[in-house]
Amino acid sequence: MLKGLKKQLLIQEGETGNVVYFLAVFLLVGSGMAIGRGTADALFLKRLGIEYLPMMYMIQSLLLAAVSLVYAAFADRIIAEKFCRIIFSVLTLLVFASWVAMSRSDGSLVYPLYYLLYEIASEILLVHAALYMSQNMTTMQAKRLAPLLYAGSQMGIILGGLLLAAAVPIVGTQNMLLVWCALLLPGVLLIITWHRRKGPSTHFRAPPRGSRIFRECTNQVKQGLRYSWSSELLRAGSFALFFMVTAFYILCYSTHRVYAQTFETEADLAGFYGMLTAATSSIALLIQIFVTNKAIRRYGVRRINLLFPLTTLTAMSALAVSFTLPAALFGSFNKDAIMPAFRNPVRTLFYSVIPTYIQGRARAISVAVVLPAALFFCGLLLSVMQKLDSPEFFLLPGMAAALVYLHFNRRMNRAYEGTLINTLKERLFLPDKRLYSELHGASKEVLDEIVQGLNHEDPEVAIAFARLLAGSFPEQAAELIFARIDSANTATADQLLGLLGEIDLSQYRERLYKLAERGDEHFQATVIHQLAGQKDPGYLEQAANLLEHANPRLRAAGIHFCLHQPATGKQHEQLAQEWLGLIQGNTGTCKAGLTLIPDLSLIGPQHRERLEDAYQKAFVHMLTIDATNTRISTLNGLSRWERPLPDTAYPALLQALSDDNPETRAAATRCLPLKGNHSRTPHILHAASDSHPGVREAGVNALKAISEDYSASVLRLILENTPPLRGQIALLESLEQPGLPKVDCERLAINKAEEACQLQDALTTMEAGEGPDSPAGSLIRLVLQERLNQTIQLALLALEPLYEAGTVKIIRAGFASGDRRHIENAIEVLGNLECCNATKLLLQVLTRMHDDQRAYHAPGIDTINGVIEWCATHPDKWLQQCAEYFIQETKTEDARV
Amino acid sequence: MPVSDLFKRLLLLKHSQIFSMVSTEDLRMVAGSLEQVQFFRGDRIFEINDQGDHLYLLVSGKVGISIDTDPGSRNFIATFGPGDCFGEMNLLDDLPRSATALVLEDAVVLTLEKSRLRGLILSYPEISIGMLRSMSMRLREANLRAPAAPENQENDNARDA
Repeated sequence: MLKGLKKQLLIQEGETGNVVYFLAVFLLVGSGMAIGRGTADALFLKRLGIEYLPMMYMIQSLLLAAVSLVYAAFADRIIAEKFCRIIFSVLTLLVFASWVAMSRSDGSLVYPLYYLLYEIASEILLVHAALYMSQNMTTMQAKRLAPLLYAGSQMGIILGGLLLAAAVPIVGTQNMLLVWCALLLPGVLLIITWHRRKGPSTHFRAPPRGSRIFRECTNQVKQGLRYSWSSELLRAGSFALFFMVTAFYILCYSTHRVYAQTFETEADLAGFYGMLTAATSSIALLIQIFVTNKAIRRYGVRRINLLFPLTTLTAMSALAVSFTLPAALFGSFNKDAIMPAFRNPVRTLFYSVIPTYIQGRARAISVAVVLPAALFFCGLLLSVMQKLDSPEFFLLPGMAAALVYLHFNRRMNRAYEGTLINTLKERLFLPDKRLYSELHGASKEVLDEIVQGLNHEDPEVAIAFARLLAGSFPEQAAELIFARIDSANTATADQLLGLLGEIDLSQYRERLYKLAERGDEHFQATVIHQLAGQKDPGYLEQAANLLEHANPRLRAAGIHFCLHQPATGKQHEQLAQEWLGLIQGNTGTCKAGLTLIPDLSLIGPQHRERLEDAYQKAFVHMLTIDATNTRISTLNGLSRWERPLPDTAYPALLQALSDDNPETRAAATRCLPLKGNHSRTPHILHAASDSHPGVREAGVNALKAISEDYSASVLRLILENTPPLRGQIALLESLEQPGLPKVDCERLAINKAEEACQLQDALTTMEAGEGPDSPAGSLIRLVLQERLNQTIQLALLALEPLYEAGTVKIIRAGFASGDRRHIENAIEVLGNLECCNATKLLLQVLTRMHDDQRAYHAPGIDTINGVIEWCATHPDKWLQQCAEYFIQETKTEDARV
Repeated sequence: MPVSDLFKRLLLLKHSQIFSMVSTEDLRMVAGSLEQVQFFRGDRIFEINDQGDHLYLLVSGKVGISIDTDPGSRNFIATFGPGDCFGEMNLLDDLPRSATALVLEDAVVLTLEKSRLRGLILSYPEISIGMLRSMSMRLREANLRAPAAPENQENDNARDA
């Protein structure tokens, strides 16, 4: 039963002690406040008169500003429990002093003072209790438990109200002050005992100590104001609060006026206030327990935020129509039931999305500036209006204030989402886009960074930066890379030179000639390839001499150079002979000949045919050689082949696709787009799902090469679940900006989120299955879990273009980390993003992942057999195989039985 | 290898700490590289200070782990049964064995050789990413419980043997 109650009240494991403690604190605060409020109102109205009430509002506003200024200075500095103790103790002393003053003198000054004491205390107590709670809970805990704890304070108010109604006829209104003192003292003891056992508040972070606290007091208010001005949410919230206070106090004044007229004696009025407080608080309590949380979850914070302005407007209108007890009762119901049940929890949630370090100041600004200003304005308005003998004169401004309040609450709603995301980003320490924007573009700083990398002593680092330089700063690249080549060893120089292939090197011919004389023959060949690209006739003689060189690579370089120069038919005949000699020679010459494949278009058709025949034979032969380097070179050559794939080479190509060496797999994948290869798509998709990123990249590039509309192909393949999930992720990541249109992204995200729901259903069914755990069952569960994680990753990738990158990162962190705070943040973001079915589904998945709720949505997978059948027909081959294994194992087991 | 054997091996690997975060698809490669070895009661699978280059997955039987340098010692810091895995850390480092593994009941063991795993990692790097995640998780767990439960630490040491 206790478990059921905890579930109903959303109390999670390990929280019970904390919840009971805070309930007790809120209970004591609430009951004391009910007594204080009933006695303060009754004593003031009957012993002084309602005509002084507007003046009290004005004095109250000034006092509130002063007290709150001090509160603002200390709220973030003093640990909340210590501050709580101080407030409780001081209040006890002042209430007792008021009672002594009332007993000893019959002067009327003590009544307004006591009234002011109660009003100030009630404001500070409520604000501080919320801060105290938030310093002891995480955001999500506070969000989940705040309604329950506010319900605790309501329970206290009910008990206090009932006590007041029952005890006033016996002990009198004045002596109830002692009862309030008697309730405050155990509160102090409770706080001391609890924190002695549990230690200080866990979420309190003390600011650095300083000696000028009172000077800082005003600074803090200024900081709070400045932040309020820069934050759309706080700005709208401050205006909303101003008009809410104005409307609220006009409503208070109106109801007090009706009650003071209706109840003649002080005891009757105090008793009535006790009963009224108990009744309105009971209703508020019931709403808080059974409605508030569910309503916030169902309709969202933003819609519930509009409820109180609307009911205030209604109450004000009712009083304007009929200034009698029923309308006043509705007004009291609005301010004492609707307000604590809906407005206060929602207001706390709005505060919880602003950064933690400013929350205390922001609350203090509300109490120290906005509330006093509104109250003073209201008091001034009422003191003028009450002289006119009709209630409409103050009710109409009240209605106007309620309308403006409604308007600003709508503006708060609009600002809520943006503030929430910014705050959560800060909490996750996500880097801002601005940090990266400076790195893009051709700024000198970026170039200096790259040059520094290019000159790094590690050749791999230097080559990586040279590649970046050639790609991003082609104008400066040649000079800088040539300078680096001068100090590099031959192997590094060879690779650096290769990176200049796309750049015009006509100005650097002399340097290339010099380089051709340097280093080994391999490097010379690379230099000649570069010179050939420049169509430089100055080197023709040396190149022609190379045709008879012993090194096949230099021979190939010579042929390459000569082919790029104007030549006669006889010269072409000679070149073709040399070329054929390379291809038909041994493995070494053949490898050199493979580099000439792109030059086939440069030779006459009569020679080309002979060469192509020779190449086709060479491919088959070279691919069967059991030497990885030779096979990779052959595959690289084959990938440049512009004719249909030779049938004879196909079996060797297939074998290379499943080679253990990833370079071989990648090279084989690069051959897949060749014409005549009709079964290329499944192999390409398989490669795009490879365990090696290099092979995946080759697979993605191969798909790009064969697709007319790559983005559309990727979308279709992913929606149809054709490649394995790893491949789907690689394909989706490969889409360059702007990528898919937003409508397709949303479609994809919804599709994958739905799949995630199905996978989660299947997994839940398997986990809930009865009987002994079979190996096949364990395997299915593992694979389903893996597929679920990958599908979520895909859905989030698809969501990225729809939202700011930081937003999706927060959600991803929630799914991937398993960390409670990240999960809470992700739930918060998913629950507040603009309407998209995918986010709703993902929220459902995330909540179910961690709340252990079992709910089946997909028909047919609510039984183990259903799940196995579903897996056996799933497009995912690995899932299919696991399901078949399960079926086979079950049959074997049945046969054994 | 029959399919059912492959799946059983895969599950054994998945339950070992070092491969727990490697995806089942990538583990297929590792499962195919395991070799089955039969040991009899009283055999020593490896001895303390041996140069270790294998990981062991116990398919059946019972194995005791002792850190006593006395070869006749029956003082075991841990005993392993079917499904348990030991000698994991030797796949990643080159330190000598820190314990002796004695067969207490006839055992069938699957072994994975270090050089074979290194080859697999180079060919299928996702395996190493999964292994790194497993190691990171294990490190976090060890950090969390280090001061609290020395008995858990002891069990971990035995696995690392």
